[in-house]
Amino acid sequence: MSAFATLQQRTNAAVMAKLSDAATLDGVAVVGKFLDDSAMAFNGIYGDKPIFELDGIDGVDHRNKTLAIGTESYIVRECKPNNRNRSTLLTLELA
Amino acid sequence: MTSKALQIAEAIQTLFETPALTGIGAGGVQDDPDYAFELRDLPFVAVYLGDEGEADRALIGAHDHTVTVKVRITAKKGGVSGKSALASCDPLHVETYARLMSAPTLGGLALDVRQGGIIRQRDVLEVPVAYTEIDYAVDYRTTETSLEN
Repeated sequence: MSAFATLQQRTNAAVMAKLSDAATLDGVAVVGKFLDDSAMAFNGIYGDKPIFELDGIDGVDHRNKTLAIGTESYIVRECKPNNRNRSTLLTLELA
Repeated sequence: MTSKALQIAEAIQTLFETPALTGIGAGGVQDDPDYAFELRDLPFVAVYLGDEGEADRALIGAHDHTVTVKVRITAKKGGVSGKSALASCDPLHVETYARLMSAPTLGGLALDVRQGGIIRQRDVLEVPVAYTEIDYAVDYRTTETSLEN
């Protein structure tokens, strides 16, 4: 591994350690970032669009697994590679 | 000054407000579906005016009109336990229809009410949401000199 790649890996690990949200996927601890942006349906129903950005690509289909974060549980409805295969986007539905 | 068409829409809203529909909380019936609700407020019902065609001169001195009154029922997945968002709209569709058809003249405001077309839409927030929007064609009569009576 080149010096740059090593530095990149260490930097990424440090950032993720600082910014990631503690969560479990079917009971297994995972590293990633929980995004819960406000959204609107039908021009007037306010809610959220919860997404969990899983660090890295593991090639596993996580659909229908349960993601627990804080006091909330979500069902994974969609699972796709993101950010040029550096992360995996899990689209969530409140369980 | 209030047109008879708006009086009719407001009468239908009142008809749905009291007594409260099943599963509808305070303020769960509104006159506009836009910017009125959050997900936790669902289900809700909105009653508002749609289009209106050309009036017909049925009697000398009177005009007959048909106004579309839209009834939109919005619900979320699981609103009815184990059911989809669209299926969760169904009980309120049945209940509002029954209530309207039990009083089709709306206390003398209307000549007749009948169900027209239905639009069903779905979307996704943290849970799927959907609405069923029913067009009711309401026949009513006014004098030729006023839209109010």
